[in-house]
Amino acid sequence: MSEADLREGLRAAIGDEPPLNFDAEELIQRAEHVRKRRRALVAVAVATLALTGTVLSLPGVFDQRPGIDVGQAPVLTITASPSPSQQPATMEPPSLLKETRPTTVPAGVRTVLSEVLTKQFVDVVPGAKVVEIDFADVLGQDQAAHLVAIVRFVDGVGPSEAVVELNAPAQQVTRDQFCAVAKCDEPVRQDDGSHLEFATVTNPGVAMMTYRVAHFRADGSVVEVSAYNYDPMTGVLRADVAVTTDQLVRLATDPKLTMW
Amino acid sequence: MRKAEEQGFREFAVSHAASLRRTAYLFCGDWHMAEDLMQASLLKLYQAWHRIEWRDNASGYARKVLLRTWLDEKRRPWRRVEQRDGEVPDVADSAADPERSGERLWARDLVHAGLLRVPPRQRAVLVLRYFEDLPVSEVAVAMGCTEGTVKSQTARGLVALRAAVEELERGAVVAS
Repeated sequence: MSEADLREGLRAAIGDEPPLNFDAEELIQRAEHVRKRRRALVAVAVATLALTGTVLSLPGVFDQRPGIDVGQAPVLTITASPSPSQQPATMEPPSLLKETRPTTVPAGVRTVLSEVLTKQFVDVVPGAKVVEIDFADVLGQDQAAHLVAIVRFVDGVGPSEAVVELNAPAQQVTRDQFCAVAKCDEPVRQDDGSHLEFATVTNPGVAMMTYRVAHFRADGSVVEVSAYNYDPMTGVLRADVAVTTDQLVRLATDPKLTMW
Repeated sequence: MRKAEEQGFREFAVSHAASLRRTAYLFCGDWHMAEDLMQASLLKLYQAWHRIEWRDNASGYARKVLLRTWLDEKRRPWRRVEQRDGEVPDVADSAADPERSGERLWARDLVHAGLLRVPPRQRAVLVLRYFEDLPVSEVAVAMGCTEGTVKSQTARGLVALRAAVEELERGAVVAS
């Protein structure tokens, strides 16, 4: 096929051209409508941006007060109750404002405890996979004396959590405190002078249940381990408590679970 | 837009609407879509009419807009999978006219059918060069590419068109 054939073929291809009903006025009206709509969109976008910028910049303009370093500010602390042996006359009024910073657990301790907990938990609870270990900062508590680690795990049933609380001897945790909110069984004495406390926390009319085991160690420290028959994050129930009492005992008595 | 500019656009649109629609038809092979392409191109042209730098060659700019509009339209997913099942427009079928020469029927049917089998950019080059009779330089401007690319695309397009026409002819012979 030559170029001439192609030219002729192309001219012939439009031989059946339908009549053209073209209205230039209508086209111009549509074009004006499109232009106005586009201008309106641009105006709205600019106004939105300006408004957003104003809202974001105003706090910085008006808030010219010097910043407050929370870490350096006085901390509200409550001193421990005086022991009964102390004479009332010698008691000093509790100081509400204490000019000392709270002691905190060094980051290295948390890292070591995370590694220990991850390994020990999987050893003690076969089939469980530790997803995350989080440390809760309990307000009003001296973190160097009381540390709460939350072990989030998944087993064959689903996700759940176990909570490990490490209490320093200075905390002076007693059996009465441990059993205050739970029904405790008889303590089990250990050969090393320590003893174990077992508690089951239930609520009337609610299927949720918690097993708690506390190891009152000979050095005065207390390790508490709790497990649930539900997922504390979602509230989804499971048939039984995710960690058995024996497994809780193994965790609570693990000598590696300490930070002192 | 000022009245004088609007009047200039109106005159341009009226005088070029038909030719733009024909070119669009050779691009896409459908008169309805060709009309849509022509209208969309003129709408875009209206928005840019106040720019006077290309006013001396408004036809070339309009072809460029038309080509871009068609290529953009082809890229849309629903165009790729569109199946037309509407009524056939009530237009006289010139192929049924016994007075028409067999050569013209061959040309219209085979060349256009073959052209629709050529890749889009090569098809555009063939239409602009052999239907619009544009020189290579103007085709390059409309396509937004170099003249060398226009030449190579033309050569490839012609090869593809000949192959498509031969294939259609073989099919026609087998069918008959």
